[in-house]
Amino acid sequence: MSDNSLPDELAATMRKAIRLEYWNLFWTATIIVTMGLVLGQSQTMKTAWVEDTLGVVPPIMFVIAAHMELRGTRSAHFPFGFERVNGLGFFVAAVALTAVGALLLYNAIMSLIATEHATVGSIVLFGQHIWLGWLMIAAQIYSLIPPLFIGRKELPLAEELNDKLLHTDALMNKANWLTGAAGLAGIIGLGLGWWWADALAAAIISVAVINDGVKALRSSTAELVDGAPRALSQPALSEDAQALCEHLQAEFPGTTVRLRETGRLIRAEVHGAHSPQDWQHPRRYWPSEKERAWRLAQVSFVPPVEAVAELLSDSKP
Amino acid sequence: MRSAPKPGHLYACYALVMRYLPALALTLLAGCNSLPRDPDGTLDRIRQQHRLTVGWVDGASPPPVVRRFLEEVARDTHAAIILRSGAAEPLLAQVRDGQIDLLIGPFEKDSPWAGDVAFGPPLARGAGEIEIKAAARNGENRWIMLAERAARTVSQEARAE
Repeated sequence: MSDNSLPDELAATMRKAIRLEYWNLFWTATIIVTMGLVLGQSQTMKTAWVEDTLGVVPPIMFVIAAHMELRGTRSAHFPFGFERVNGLGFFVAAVALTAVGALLLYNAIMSLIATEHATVGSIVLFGQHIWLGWLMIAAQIYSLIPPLFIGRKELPLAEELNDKLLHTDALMNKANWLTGAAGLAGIIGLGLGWWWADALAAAIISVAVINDGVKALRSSTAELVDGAPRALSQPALSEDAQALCEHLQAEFPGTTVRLRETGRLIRAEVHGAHSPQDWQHPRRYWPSEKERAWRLAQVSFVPPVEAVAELLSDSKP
Repeated sequence: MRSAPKPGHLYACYALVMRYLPALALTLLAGCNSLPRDPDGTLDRIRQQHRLTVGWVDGASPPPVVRRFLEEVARDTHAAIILRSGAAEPLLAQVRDGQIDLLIGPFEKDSPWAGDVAFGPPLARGAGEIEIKAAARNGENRWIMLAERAARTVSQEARAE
């Protein structure tokens, strides 16, 4: 067992994921700069730009959490290491997504109510007067490409690491084409003289951002308040944790099994049972694929209440 | 396990893209010319009616570049200019509401009206942060593009912006 909280078999995958997230940050930075250069007054572009800028929150939180998990050793102040930093990062990313999504939706709705007509003027490029909208369209198309590839590469790593933060980022990247398409439609609509297209596209993008944020918020808060382990991509209970719960109940009939998740690890409490005489490593209780047994970090036993009462009566003078 | 794409498949993709690339490029070029359009059809109206309403802010004598700018706009639109003058605030409100097509005058570089009307590049610079520039109705992007092009044609300051 290593000094840090990360299971040994995940170290190589984690390093691979960190490298990928650095690439993710690099490509996202190029998108932010490209989009920022052609923002103009378009609500769609501003919303898409804020969305892209927000896109750096999950990878940054992942990289910070991953470094702490890899390098942060257990100490007197942090006896469990830093396995929950990832959960905290997931929560921070979720709050940022939801709050900014709500703000963007408010702005888009206000623009629609005020019937604001977005001005997109022209610039001179290579001696030609070009409508800035064309550059916005080019920037939007560019912003679609890197996330598509990065999202595909993130997904298997997130599943291997059982990392919700990375998984949420992967899904957001993979679904980025939807917001990109809305953004393109907004700019083209604006060019066609439909003043409402810009704000409407911005509202659609905001709803997508809020949707991602709320899903992440539900999962992350569940972990922080010791809820049962959740599935990677949704707030539903995870299948492997449910299988573990059934397995423990079968092994210790008549007991209550409580599971919680600390980062990527599961901790189990079996209430109403004494510790077995033949001591077993927690991983022995993992019911499915053995290569995923690292998920189970702890199995604790809480004796029945009667046993405690007997103990108390024996100790009386 | 997913197999890597064969060279034959890559060539087929490449051939497909190359086959339709000229058509795609032509479509985009045609699109370049037709976009943007004005939501309220300002430029079409000016060209159809051959009439362009221009406001001038009282209390300032227009530098020669303003005359050249208006001549350039009139030539592009084949329109006669109808001039109105008055105080800046009411004229800006008329631009915002589409009653004036173009308002020219001295405005602050960071005018508080920047969100309500679309200011073009500066035609000339006044004292301090003051710029002589034209304002058009927000969102009338084709009309705004025409005014911007005219400003860049006649003014060094506009080209440098």
